[in-house]
Amino acid sequence: MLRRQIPATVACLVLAIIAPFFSGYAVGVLVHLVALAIAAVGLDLIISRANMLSFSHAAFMAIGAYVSVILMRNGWEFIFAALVGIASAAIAGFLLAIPASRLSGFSFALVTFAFSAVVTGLAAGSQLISIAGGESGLSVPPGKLFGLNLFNPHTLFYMALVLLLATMLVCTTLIYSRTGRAFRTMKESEAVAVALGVNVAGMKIGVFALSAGIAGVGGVVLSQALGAISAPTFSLEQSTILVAAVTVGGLGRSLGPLVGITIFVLLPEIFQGLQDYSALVFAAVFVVTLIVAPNGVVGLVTSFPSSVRQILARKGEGPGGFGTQTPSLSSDNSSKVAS
Amino acid sequence: MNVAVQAAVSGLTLGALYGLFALTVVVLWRTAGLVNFAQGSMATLSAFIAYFLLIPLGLPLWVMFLLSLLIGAVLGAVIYTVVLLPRSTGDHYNELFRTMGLSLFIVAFVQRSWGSGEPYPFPSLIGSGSVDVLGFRVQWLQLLTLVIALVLTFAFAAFLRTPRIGLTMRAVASDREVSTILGVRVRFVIMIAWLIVGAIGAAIALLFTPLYSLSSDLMEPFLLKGFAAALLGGLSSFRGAIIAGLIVGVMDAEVAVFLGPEWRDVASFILLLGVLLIRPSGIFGQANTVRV
Repeated sequence: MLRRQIPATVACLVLAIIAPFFSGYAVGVLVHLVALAIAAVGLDLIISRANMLSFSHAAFMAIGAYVSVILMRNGWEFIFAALVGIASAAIAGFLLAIPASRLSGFSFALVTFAFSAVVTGLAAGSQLISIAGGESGLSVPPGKLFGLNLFNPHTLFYMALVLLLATMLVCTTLIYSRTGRAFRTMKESEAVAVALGVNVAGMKIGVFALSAGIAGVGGVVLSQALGAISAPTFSLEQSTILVAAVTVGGLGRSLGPLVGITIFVLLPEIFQGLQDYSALVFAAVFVVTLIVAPNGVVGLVTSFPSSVRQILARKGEGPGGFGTQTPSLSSDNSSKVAS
Repeated sequence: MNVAVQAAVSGLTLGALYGLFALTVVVLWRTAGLVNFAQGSMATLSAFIAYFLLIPLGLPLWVMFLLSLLIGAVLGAVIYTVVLLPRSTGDHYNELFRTMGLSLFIVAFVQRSWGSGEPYPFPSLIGSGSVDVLGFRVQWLQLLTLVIALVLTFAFAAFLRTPRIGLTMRAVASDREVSTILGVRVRFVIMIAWLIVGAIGAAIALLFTPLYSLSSDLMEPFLLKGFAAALLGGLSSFRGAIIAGLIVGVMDAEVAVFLGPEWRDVASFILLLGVLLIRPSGIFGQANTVRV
């Protein structure tokens, strides 16, 4: 089970080791990246495991960010403000999922789409201007955690990295637990899952709330990294970009969300010279990846060696091809069933 | 009371457009099994193409309107061919993501070419005169929008009853696999659906510009309300889409008058969630029964 975590953990450790040599700006970009990656890990969980498509994860990030910032501006300690912010995001996800869990995939996606539009509308609108700051947004008071100043980008980066690893650990544990197996049954056939006594609606609501809470964690980290928050940071477009990053990276693969977010955060940095075109390049990369590599970049890379091996095996004797199958989640599943 | 009726009249106009938008969503859902997230941006793009291609020609406005429908249809066909056909895996999420990427692309393209949110003066299809109906003031433009929306809806309903294309479209909608076996060219039918969707999209954008103004975020209100109307109507019912669109439009206008315009989106969302809580398949949708 923990083997699944290794590539991502190694990637995080490498980042942690080289981070002190980076300038403040570069680390700032990295924190931004990690904050989005946390939300992306949560998003990947519901898309690839529970088959629920969400276009509202930037909205949950907004709820986490806005609630924690508003509380901190009222004199709360960072840690308590952050916890309440994350809980608010999870509760919002819970409430949204109650009516939505009865819908089919596309209808659910459309409801989350609408939710995202409403949340950003409220954040920028005049209804809540006295608390949420309207169009101009809010400045973020620098947080302190156990005496460490989060205003320092390096400190913030290490906190974000720890949170990312913890998030991935939680998700992996869930996937390999009894609940995770129930999700796999549910994904194959909801009717079978119901017949086996799985509380399908309850599980969907629960995992969606968890995923929304994780997005809230990402939102809190992002608000600290940005120093000021406003509605466009968490717009519907951002939600779409999160979904895009997760798919381009590769759904259901532990490195997928990280690779996807890295591509989508670094592309604009790399193409800074062609500022005007960066959004175009970005969208084109997304569409072309979907056509060329439907399993995402990670899927493409991991399937590449196995396809080479299959070709080699085909040249040799017949049964030799047996051992060349790539280990996958399904093999783990079948062994559980057999025992 | 007077104010409420006046608001309802303008709400009906807007609602007819929401309904048309929902209709396009339903058309693609029933034929291709796809929700097209690029619906709004495609419409915006056709309006911009119409603005820069057709207005310099100085054509009569109704000719321009018809030509724009053609442009929209061609755009729909091109998008289907370029974005959705290559290496189509039959994976619905993959197709959905492709339309999403396309939407990001079109928005980026429009913003880069013609500025983000910059307004362009689009000539109105009809003067700004108004007429009194039963003592209430109705602008000609509103009346015309309503009429065109209804004509398009009925034309589409009639089209679906034509023996050749209409029937095969309904066949594909009801069962894709069986129609393939029976020799229906599914791709051809889906292509027709994209042509229709593109044309209606262009019509919506052109009818909406005089109410709003041509800019990169022209179709933004439709993202919430158009899709909400499609869901409220049940995602598979043409009649439901139009009626739900009118309901959303009227509620929008009434909320704007009585609570303030900033509450419109929230109200539509609450209506959507409330209806789905009671009837997950929408007002006119049929409940999905899954056979094991």
